[in-house]
Amino acid sequence: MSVGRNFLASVLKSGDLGFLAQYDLSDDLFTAGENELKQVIIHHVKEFSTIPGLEAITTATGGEVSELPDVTESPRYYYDQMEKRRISKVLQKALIEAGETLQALPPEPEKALENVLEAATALYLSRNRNRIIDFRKSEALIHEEVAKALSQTGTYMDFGWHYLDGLTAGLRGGDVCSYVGRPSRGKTWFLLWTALHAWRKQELPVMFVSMEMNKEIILQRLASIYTETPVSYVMTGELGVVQGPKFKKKLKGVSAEDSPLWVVDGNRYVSVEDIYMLAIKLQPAVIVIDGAYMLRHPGKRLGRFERIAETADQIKFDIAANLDIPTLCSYQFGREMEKKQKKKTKQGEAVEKPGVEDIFGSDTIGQVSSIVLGLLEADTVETIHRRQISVLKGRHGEKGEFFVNWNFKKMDFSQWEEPKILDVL
Amino acid sequence: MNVKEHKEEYADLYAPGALTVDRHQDLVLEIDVLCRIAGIRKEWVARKMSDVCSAKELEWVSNSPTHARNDIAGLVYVGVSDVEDRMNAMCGAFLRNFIDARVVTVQQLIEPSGGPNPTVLLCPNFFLAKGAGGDVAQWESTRLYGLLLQRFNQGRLSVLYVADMDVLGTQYGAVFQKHIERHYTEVCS
Repeated sequence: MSVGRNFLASVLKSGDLGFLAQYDLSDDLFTAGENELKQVIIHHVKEFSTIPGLEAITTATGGEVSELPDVTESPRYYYDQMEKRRISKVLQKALIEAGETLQALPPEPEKALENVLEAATALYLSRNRNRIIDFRKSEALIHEEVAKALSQTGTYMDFGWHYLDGLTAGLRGGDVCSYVGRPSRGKTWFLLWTALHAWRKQELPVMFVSMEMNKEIILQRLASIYTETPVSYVMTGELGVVQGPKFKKKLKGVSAEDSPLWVVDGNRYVSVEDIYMLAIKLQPAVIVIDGAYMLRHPGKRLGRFERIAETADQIKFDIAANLDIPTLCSYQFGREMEKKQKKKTKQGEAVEKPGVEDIFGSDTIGQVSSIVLGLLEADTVETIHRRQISVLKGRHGEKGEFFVNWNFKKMDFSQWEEPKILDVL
Repeated sequence: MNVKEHKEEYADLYAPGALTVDRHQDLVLEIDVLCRIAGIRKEWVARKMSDVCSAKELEWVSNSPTHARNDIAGLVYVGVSDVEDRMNAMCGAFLRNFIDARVVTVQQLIEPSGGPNPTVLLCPNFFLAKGAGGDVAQWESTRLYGLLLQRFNQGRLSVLYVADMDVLGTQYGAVFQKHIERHYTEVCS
């Protein structure tokens, strides 16, 4: 069995050029025969910007490769096998050399140790090649990132609020963005708004996991925003003769949308592993987890706060970073913060803004989040039709605040624009 | 409760014509709480501002979203007689536009715990001369000046009553007086 060939066959089967750019394909990962096939594929991709078919490969190898293994696993699986093979090969060689040095007369243990360490270090660097870069050689990568940001392509996603999109340049693969607020502050509505924006305007496949509400309620909310029908009408079924036909007509548009939007009923029994497995299967470009602090964790002995910290870590590293997609989560502010605020409001004192340190459960949430948005405005007449969102943490230290509509008549949560003049009678 | 039932239940509030069901239904449902916070009676929200205020005040409220950008810190009534009603009507107009406006006394502002800091603050007894009911000590005037400056820098508007600008200058200092003269729209009648 040739794992290198299996890897290349799996890449060809997937038809995804991204795999070739994503992995380190240095020659020492492949055997001589595998390298030849790899070169043929890379040459074809460079020449025609597509993955070659079997015919092109057979022609290019002069008939030497006329069939490819029938693989069943993903490229990543075979890549792991190749890496293991390389580690075994390099370590075996180093250990043999070290053994010989130890048995020589006179024995040279320091040299043996040096040999083994050198091999181990080289392997370590090689495994982390994608994570380390010399700034002097980063020009192409920087240009690529700038172009991505400019064209808003790749894994970049917008929030649907131009202030925030301008401030943060949207979200990218590996980013975690946390929406934090006390209950009934609008976390779920704002997550749904962002999810719908990414799905509808940017045509990104989205997976929405709800840990707090069942999928029927989430679907009702999505439908009400999508059709701009008051959610109370949708929930009670009292659509009436005007709203009813309008709702039905607009809802028909859902099936014509280009990308899927999966709603997952987490119902408190879903873990990060479950979400990971679903994501592998469904391939979303964005994952949204509403009520991430309720995610299940296999560590039965962990306390509540440790569990929240562990799952926040897993969301960052196992989902966002590993799958290279942006992930949005909602969390709560601790009750202490609200008590403090209520007391101050009652006393008529200036109310302090909440901070990342006030997130309920764990400091880890703020630490692993690239962006933290806070929703904790005291209720006043101003919060009837608009809500303030504070940027508590930005990727590069950005901070700020902006207002969004809180309009349940039109189901509008877009950015609020201050009127130029007031309506005075 | 449907729209018709709502309109019937709150007919007295909708009758003067300043409130509309389409725009203000949510506000009317919460009107008791909101008016308690704002420090006015709900009639002032229902009533038209033009019943009590002049065209100059109407224009000032109407253009209020641009004031901070134009270096305007607020509006000052100087020596007018019916200032309480005018401020109540103005506060009602702000509430109808979903702006956090509150009528507070100067005693609330100088409380040691610090007074409220709404988007629009209206103070009908901001400066009364000593002997005419004013009881603000000179050291407390420093605190008031700081508060006005802070609100100005935050882009929050203040509406004040000053019985006499010159007396204010004598009692609170020339800097205080100059700040008001430079950054407040004056209404004298």
